[in-house]
Amino acid sequence: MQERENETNRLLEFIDRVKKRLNLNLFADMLIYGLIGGFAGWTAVNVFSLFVPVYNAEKYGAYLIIPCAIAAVVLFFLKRFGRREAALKADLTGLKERVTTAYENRGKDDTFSRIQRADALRTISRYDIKQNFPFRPGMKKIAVLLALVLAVVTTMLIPSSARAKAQTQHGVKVEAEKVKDKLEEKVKELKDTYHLTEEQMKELDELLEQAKKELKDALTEEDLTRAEERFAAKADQKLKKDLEENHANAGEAQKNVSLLEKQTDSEKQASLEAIKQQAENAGNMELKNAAEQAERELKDGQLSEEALQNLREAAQNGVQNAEQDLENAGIKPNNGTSSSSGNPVPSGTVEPSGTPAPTGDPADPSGAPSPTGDPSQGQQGQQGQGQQGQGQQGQGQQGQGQQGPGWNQGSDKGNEKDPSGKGERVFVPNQKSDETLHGKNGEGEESQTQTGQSFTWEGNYVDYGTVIGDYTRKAYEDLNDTDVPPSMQELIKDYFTEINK
Amino acid sequence: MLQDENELQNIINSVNACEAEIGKAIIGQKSVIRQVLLALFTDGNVLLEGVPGLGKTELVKTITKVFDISFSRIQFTPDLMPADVTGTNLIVKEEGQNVFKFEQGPVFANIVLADEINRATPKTQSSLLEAMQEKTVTVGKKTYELPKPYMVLATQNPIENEGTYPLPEAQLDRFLFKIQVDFPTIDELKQIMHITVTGHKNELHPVMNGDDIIRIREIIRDMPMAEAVEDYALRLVTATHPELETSPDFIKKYVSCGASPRAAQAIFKTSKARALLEGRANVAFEDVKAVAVPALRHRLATSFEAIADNVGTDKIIDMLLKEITP
Repeated sequence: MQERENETNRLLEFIDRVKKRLNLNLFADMLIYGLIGGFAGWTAVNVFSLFVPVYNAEKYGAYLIIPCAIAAVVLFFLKRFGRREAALKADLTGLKERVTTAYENRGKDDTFSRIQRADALRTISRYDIKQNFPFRPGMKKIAVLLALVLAVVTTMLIPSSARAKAQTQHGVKVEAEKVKDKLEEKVKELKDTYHLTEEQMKELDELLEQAKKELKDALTEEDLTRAEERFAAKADQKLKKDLEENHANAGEAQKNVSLLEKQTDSEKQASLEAIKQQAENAGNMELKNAAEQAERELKDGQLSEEALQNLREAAQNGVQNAEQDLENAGIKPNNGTSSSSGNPVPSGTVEPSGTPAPTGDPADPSGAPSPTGDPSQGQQGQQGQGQQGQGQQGQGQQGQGQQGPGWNQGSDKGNEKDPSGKGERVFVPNQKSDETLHGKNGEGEESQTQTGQSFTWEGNYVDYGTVIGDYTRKAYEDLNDTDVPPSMQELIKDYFTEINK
Repeated sequence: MLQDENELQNIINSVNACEAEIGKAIIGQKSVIRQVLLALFTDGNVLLEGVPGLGKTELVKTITKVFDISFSRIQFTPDLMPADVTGTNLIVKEEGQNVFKFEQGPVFANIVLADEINRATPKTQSSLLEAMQEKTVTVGKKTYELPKPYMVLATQNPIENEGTYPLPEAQLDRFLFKIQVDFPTIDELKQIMHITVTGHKNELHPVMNGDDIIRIREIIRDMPMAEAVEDYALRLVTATHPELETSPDFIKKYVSCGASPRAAQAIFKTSKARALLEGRANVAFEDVKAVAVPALRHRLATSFEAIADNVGTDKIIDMLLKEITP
């Protein structure tokens, strides 16, 4: 029993040595094959990059060696020799299946198996494993590998236009990423700095997305610069417009708040509706909430002084925030709009140039204001912004009609009609000194005409309801302030009542 | 069961001595002698094919002398009857009464030489079937056992096919080996002349006996054979079947019917015997290769294409051995 175990151990030891040797050769072979595959792939990638722009093709080619080597190792593990295969391999070198037979009969103890085992052990004792299984990776394989290494080096050093192009494209890509980060930072900063509404922020994000797309499609450094400049211009323009709108809305809301005290309940109701809308448009949630609270109180019967005070404070805060935003943005606040002093002033009208003057003079890059309109009547309000002329940005200033003496006084129903500002819109072309028409700073759309090197504000679109509302309100205010005979007052009121229907 | 290594060594020595003793009378033909001995030690029958005068009958006679076993010869002719082979019941008078008594035919011997077996009618040829396969003879209702060891050595002439009855496939399959007896070389022929023409004869001495043959047969059965070697032998036999998809193309072209399982049995048994005669205690791939030709050549039915291309079974088996590797 003991003898059999010893013989079996000797036999297994021999087979294990053969197996180790075979596996060493197999591993070397597999690794060489893997490297050949990897270097062949590397060469192919290098050749490909000579004709097609691929940045870092050499690096990607080098990466191919890793999976090929891994595949070689995996294949080695799948194909590695076991004891049975090793025994058979040894037998095929002249042992005449002695080892295999002895290995298979290692557990048997009959006479034949013992004799056979002894015969096998005698034979293998004279067997030289290293001689029969020399560690000799094929010279052809090594030669192929060396040739491929040479091919890799050669193809790597060959210059080509495709490679230069790939390099340039990569530089643009990297730069685009930097610009993208910069723009994102800028948008974040704008959002953090200014009191913008959700919609305005969303529009800002859309601008950013558009810029990102342009950056992504950019092929040259110039494309990047252009995309960045376009975004900057659009963002600035939009910000200015948004801030002015917010400012105008805040002022309008404050004005409406100031009128509440004198109004009847139905008028208050209408004004509160308008205040709510304006507060929302200005991004002033505090005012909106206060207006809602006031509305509830009004429904319950009496609008308390506290609610009014809240409204005033909220409106005041809104105006202050809007002015602060304008100041932060370097935009001169429109003093005709409102005053943070608490004395409401009717909003400065956005009367885009009574005269077509506010052109930015390209020759005057400082954008010095060019007063337009009648200084005795109007006040310089909204700045007109000229467009770049050959890269220079001129800035002009629009004339603004100031609140004039007016000629009528009417109800606020004009505003009540369309407080959202939607509905029919009226274009007010080249308004000059019509003091009775109150445009508001930032309200309505503007049309621009390119006049060679700058833009001219030519007119403004104002909602029909706003126009009527403004007329009516002005008429009512003037009725109180002027000496109009009672009979005429009734006639005027009827007139405005009719046109407000 | 083998007793010990000495017994194995004694057997190997005895067999070598037998071959040497046979070699005294049979000049050359070492491969034929070896193959006949393989068949003898594995309880098989042999079909010897060769032109007349190559010493086939002499070989059989020599073997019987060396192994000290009984021998009978049947010359097959077209008018030979089965009873002439197996024996018959004769009416004899015993104790005043006529009774049937079985008179043994020439088939009752340790080694039977069926000379020119293809000259007898199929009926007579088939009288040997039971003897070859079952080692018994049935006459009337009684079955008689043949002596042990038993072996049929049939000869046939590959030429002079006129008036012959080629052996049917079923009977061919019962021969363990079909051995081709080739013409001797000039040196061998010179030695043959020296013995036969000059009258100089070597005295042959028995080296082994029938019991030794039986003992060797038992031992050979226990000879270990590795799985890989068995697989190789079976792959060889399987590959002779043209109907299998895995068979080589030349088999599909040249073979119409492949070897039977008896071919695999023949290869297994004779390769073990060969390993023993080579002094090994295990079967090697080379043993299988060595016995494949005589074990398969009479079991393959060739196709018309093989005849047209003049490709014989030996060539087909050579191609098969090159195609199917261990």
